[in-house]
Amino acid sequence: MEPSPTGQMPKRQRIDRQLLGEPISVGDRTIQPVARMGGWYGSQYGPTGGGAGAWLRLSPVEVIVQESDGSERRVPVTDPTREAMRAIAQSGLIVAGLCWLIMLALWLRRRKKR
Amino acid sequence: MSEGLPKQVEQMIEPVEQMLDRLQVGTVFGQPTKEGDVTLIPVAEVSVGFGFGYGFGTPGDVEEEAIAEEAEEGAESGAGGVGGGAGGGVKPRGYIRIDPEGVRYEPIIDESRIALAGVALSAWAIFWVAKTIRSFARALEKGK
Repeated sequence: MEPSPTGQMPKRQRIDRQLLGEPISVGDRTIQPVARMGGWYGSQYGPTGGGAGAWLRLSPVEVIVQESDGSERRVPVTDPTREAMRAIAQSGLIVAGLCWLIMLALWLRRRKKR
Repeated sequence: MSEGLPKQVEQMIEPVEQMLDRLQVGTVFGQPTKEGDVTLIPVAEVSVGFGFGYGFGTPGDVEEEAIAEEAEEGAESGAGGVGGGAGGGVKPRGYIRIDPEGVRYEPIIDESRIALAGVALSAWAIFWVAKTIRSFARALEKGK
């Protein structure tokens, strides 16, 4: 990391951990939840000022299902809303990018004709 | 005061390190609820954040050592400020349904949010397409 103008090295830690839960028995099945912890925390200070901050997100990832016959399968915990929002944002960027490219091509063609 | 603040900044980080050790899978996967043959496990997403900062006023064109002295004086005279804030939230994501047929995840879909984003995307697309058509028409006009 870059030292701050005041000479103090910022202390910043990235958090990325996978957490395994205790297995839960439901009937003849055993279910083990899996989550992910992500984010960062850090601090920086000098003679004239400083600060500290942290941001943390704990999100579910999947459940591991162990059937009575010993077979194991994973059920992913998805977020369709977030996926849809991401797809919408990507579509918006693609539309804007394509239109911008067409306009740029038209402008270049006009400039070449002059 | 200013000597104590860097220490306080580091002290602010310590609870975060402790919190990381305390957070468990149980924070996002709830207790199973059984009703007849069906067992439901609620699933959520948790996010937290905080920020804290302090600073003391100093003249702009002085050396670093002088800044430190000024800061010291400023701290003693109270010419500075401290602020902080924190926030967090829990968002339901869905539930795990366990029944004799199997185990599946049933997500909660925020339809109104998707619909609003869709409307915004349509407006955005109309804006860009109209702009491109106008540019195309202008190019045709000048080409004549």
